[in-house]
Amino acid sequence: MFSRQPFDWRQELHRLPSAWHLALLQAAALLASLLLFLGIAFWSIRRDLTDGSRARMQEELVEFAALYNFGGLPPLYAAAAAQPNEADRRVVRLTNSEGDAVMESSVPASHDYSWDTLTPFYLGPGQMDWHILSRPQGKGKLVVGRIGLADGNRLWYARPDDEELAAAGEATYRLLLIGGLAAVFGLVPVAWFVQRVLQPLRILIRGAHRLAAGPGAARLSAPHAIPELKEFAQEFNSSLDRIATLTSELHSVNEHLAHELRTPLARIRGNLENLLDACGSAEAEDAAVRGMEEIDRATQLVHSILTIRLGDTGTMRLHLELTSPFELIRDLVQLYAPSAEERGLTIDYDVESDALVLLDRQRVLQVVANLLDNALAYTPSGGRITLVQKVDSEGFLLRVQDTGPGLTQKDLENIWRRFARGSAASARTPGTGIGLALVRAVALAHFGEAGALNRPEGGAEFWVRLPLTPDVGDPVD
Amino acid sequence: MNKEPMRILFAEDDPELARQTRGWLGEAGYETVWCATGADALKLSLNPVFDIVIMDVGLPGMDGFEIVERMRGNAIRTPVLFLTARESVTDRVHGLRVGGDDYLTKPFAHPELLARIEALHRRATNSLAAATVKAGWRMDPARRRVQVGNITVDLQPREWMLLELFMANEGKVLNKKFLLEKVWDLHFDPGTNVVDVMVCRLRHKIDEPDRPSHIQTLRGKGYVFQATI
Repeated sequence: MFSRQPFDWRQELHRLPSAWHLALLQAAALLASLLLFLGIAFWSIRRDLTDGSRARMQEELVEFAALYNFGGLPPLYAAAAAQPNEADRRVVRLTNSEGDAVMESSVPASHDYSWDTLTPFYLGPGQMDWHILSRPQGKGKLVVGRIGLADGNRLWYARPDDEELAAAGEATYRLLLIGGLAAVFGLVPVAWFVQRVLQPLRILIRGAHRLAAGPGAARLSAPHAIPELKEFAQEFNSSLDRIATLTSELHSVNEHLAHELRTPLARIRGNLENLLDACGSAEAEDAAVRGMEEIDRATQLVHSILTIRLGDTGTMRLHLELTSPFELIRDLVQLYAPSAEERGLTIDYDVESDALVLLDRQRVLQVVANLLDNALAYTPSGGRITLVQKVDSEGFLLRVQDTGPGLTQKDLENIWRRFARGSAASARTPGTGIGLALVRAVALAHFGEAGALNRPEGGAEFWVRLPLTPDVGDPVD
Repeated sequence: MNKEPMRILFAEDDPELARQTRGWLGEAGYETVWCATGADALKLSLNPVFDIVIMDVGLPGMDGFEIVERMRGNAIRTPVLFLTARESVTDRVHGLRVGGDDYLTKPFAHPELLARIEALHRRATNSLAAATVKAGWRMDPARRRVQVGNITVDLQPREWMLLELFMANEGKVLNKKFLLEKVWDLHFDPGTNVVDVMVCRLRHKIDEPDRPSHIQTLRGKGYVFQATI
């Protein structure tokens, strides 16, 4: 059944490149703190403004009340008109005890408010009450103060808070501007992180990728990195130096060992050859021949072990040539076909596709030969060995299938280890069990892989996959 | 008058191996000059009197690759066979690149050494062409058809190459390793007895029934081809 993967934002977030991740986090943090800061600032500015204007209003109301109490309407008019700027924004109104307006100076800003509907109620002389009316539509409030006068009338004094609102808005706008600027500065760490940490890290990763091919002369370097990364590169490089030293030692030990073993083997072999020519006794001849065969086997063994060791340490030198695997393997299959026939086996070679591949001819030949040897040894008479080849954009793939007993679980785990032999091996089965270890070593040296599995229809399958071009490796010279 | 024996310069630092090899070269009728150090080998190799040079690579003082490079630098064209414990393809290619003509790794079978020397000498003296024409044999290379006695057979490409190699080395012992390298370009020994089976198959094709085989197997040594039995 088809089921849709639920969107997992956490996972999506983890997939983001680190620079974006950091920028996103930083932006979120900045936004949150900016909002908080602006909110507090706006609120406190607004309150300050409101408190200030309330105090001023109260002063004026008391002053106007005093003027009226002292001289009636005329001084009130005079005072209300005295500050034309202020007069545009404030409303002064005088009502009698019934609530009817005796005098009113109105400004457009106050028209939105139905403030005259405020319930009239008794206020003794000098008594004040305050009301805040909201504008029915839109923002803004009207602050209304009333005071009881000596003659029983009431003096109303009102003022819309548009001005405060505008001032607070202005202040908020400035704060926002400053906050935005701060946010830009807040991104400076991100830029720093990208330039000094992320980019050097990428350079290091690329360098390490090149090194994966084998510790050659290449070293990690990240000139603009933070000190910690530089230190890391340094430490890494000194480990590489140690590996390089060990590798070259290994190479010379290998060469030395090969020489030291091969020369005495050659001496013994020579003497056995002379013995074979001179002895004239069938028994001695037989002994000499067996001795020579043992020496040849030992020579081959030394060769294989050294090759596997080079593969294990990533120091196998390949002699790469552009080669058609088909032409290479066809000849080998033809060489093996009569031997297979003699054992009652047939070899098929299915070539699904072929193309030039950069590979070490001798080593790959040895890989295929080892797989064929293996299949011949483990497939009972009457069986079939099938080679299936494919070359596509992913590289070269060869599968060697047999109709033998297949592999046990233990075989599948152990078979690639040196000197391991399949559980179907008998005393009669030839081989020292290093053939498959060599197959894998050569495949790995080509940056390929090798594997084994049991076919559902029975029998075992060994496969080797090589890339079209091994990333790195010694060119022909 | 016998023709003058082939003169061989043999550079090898292992005295025991040198003793054996000089014995075999002497038995084969060659005149051998032996030296054991790089300096001596360099001095002697610049002398153009030799027909073949057998050069160890790991010589004390100077390695064989360098000596041959200097030889070629001094326009000495004597065929060189490297005889060495270094068996990697890289070394082999390097050896051929500096001017070597053939490459044999230790331990080796002495008939193989002799066969390679013969081949080098034949190539140097251009005496190869006649070797494939034998009395009683009619060869048709275009169709890979062989007529011998009252038998006519068609051969597979590799069987043809195998037969040609045998004919060119008639009477000489050819070992498995040499055949694998020359016919199948394999520089390692397959675990299975592929060469035995191949030779057996060729034998079945070219041999007349109830007659001895043209190709004899010498246990522990290899195969010998005889054109006429």
